[in-house]
Amino acid sequence: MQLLKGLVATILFAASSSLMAKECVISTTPRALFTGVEGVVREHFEPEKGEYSATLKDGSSVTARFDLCGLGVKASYLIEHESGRLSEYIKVLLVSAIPSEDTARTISSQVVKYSEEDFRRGITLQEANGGHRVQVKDSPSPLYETVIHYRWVPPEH
Amino acid sequence: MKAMKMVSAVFLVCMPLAGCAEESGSENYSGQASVSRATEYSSELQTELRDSGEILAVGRGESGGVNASYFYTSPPSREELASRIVEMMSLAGVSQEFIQKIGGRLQRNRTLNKEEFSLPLTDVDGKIYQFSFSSDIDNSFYVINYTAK
Repeated sequence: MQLLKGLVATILFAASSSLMAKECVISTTPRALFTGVEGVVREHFEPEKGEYSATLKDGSSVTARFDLCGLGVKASYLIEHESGRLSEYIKVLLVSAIPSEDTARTISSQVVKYSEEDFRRGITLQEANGGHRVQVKDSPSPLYETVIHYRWVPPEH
Repeated sequence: MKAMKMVSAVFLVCMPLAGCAEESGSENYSGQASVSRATEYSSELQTELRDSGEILAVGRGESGGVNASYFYTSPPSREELASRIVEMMSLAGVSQEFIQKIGGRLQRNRTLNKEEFSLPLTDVDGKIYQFSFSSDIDNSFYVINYTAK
């Protein structure tokens, strides 16, 4: 009976591993998004899990998740007090999180064209490598004022 | 020998599930990551990176009491939420007696399975400890808050 259990477990493991391997032919390379950004105090980076987070000197924090079974990045930037500097925070997040440097430059230069209301409604900017969605929301935590969400929506194959 | 076989079987089944690996490896990280206290910050918030990189923020509410929040990029399990609620109560200086009493019950509380919830916990003196959980699935952003009353 014990032997049978062990055998079933082995088959399950082998089957799930091969299934996962087939599904994940494309994955997103995780990056330590805020390395080099001024004021970073502590970072946590686990590329094998597609996770990154960092805390900054001004009380803000960033957290990101990379799609390891397909293409995609989601990042959220928690701002303690935005003090009229919302567009600066959006730019910092976009420059750090957008997967291509050229696209990051192009898109972050467009931030000035939009108002806070536009960002609160949510904006998706289309580029050659897909859509880049930015949305500003009130923070769900009373400790922070605002949270900026970024999502890379790659083109469908 | 039987026990060994069972352990191996359980291990093999758990291997493809990220959750198992995450839990077993989490303790090593907490030792390194939990020291990022914000004592030199210009901000009044204290932030820490814990276990698998989830963010813990602690600050003072309008009433002067401790407020705390945990942020996740994937939905935390009921057990994870239960242990974070216990941890936040400790941070807020809630009596250990009450924490121990409520800790076991929290693990079985089905409210913690919900995508959104508000959970007031009342101690024997009638003091209320308010917890709330919110999920933003589109943005993979999950928050559990403790708010001082």
